[in-house]
Amino acid sequence: MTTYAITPTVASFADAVRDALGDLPAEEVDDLTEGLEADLAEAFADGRGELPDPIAYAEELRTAAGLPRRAARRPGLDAARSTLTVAARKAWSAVGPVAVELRPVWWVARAVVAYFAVVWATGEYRQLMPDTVVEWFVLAVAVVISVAWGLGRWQPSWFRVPIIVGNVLAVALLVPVLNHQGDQTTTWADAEDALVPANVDSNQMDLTGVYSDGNPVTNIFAFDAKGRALRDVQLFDEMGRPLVTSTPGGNGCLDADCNDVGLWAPAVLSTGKYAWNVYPMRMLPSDDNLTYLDDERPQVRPAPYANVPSVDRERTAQANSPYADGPDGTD
Amino acid sequence: MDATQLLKGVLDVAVLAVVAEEDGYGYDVVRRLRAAGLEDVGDASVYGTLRRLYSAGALTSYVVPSEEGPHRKYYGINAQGKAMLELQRKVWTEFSTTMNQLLTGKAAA
Repeated sequence: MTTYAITPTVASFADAVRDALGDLPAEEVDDLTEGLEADLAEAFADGRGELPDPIAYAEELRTAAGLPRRAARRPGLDAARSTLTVAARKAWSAVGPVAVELRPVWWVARAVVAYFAVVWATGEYRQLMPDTVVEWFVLAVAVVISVAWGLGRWQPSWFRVPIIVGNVLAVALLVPVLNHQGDQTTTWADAEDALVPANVDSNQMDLTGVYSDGNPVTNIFAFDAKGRALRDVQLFDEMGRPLVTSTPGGNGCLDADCNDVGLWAPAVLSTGKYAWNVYPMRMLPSDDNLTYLDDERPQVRPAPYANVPSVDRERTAQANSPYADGPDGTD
Repeated sequence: MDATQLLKGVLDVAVLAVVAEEDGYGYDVVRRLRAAGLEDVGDASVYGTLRRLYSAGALTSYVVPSEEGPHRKYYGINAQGKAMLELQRKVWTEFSTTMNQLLTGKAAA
């Protein structure tokens, strides 16, 4: 096929025609004027003399295509609108192809969002990132399905509407999920730097903590009514303040001889926040410089008792004069 | 009488006939119409007509990439377009016969 040089005159004529069609939807204008430059260039090569008036040309194009005539011009508004439309079209012609190329990124992103949303909704896991082989597999399946849909495969025709709804949901959830994920991936180091318990005045660090007979309490072990050890108990004082024994960075011994040391590790709440009032508190093994070890997980601390006597609830409720019975509650 | 006025009424069937002969892009159709004797046909009228016939489902379209220069959008006729062409051919034949008879003063047989 012979190609014809597109001169600046032809290009500016085509722009003027598109401008005159500016009140039409961009897609319509593209369809109407696709190949316009090439056609004009060829007409010139065929011996055509002068270019016609672009406005009249646009009007002829529009009428022949069966489109409504341009509404009466309202100079200011119209010019502004057509300038905007032309600018938008130019911007899209620059950005559009890139956006189209990036569609696969979106297909993967929406699968990840869907996976996170399901994990989050089931509430089973506080951590959204897949951890086990099964979770990774589920996520991978979600990605494969999403990409297949993106390529127009595996979707019956009635499926279009659910996919559109799903896309809208995915866009809406993208930011919250990423935010939540951001919280989750905060490292222990970040926690130490950034998270100070609510009741800690950073200027008076040394006054914080829980004391028993004047000695700092480093950990708290709770037992239920039957005398069994409890895990992950959240403690607050009478003012609703978290009962915190250790500040971020607080350290202690991992064994009785203090051969190994560790950093007190907070619990992670469903909100993604760290909580320093969850007991018994775990400890993250560290090196001698009290830097946490990357490949270690927080360790549960051994309880001082495996079990304690159960509570006699009946007598507790009926003992109306414990003080009369004696300081130990014995009669 | 202005021939361009007459042309407006028959441009659809003229364009369909040209495309039915062989697929073509915008200016190619213009050139073939002119070569056939419709010298006053306007480029923009033809492009607009091609677009409208395509929207009406009478034509198919495909893009032929070009190594240099812009891509070419070709139009071809489909079954619906062929049916439209047949009908309009008949309408035109009857109409032109009637007009010929009227203008030459011969009454219908």
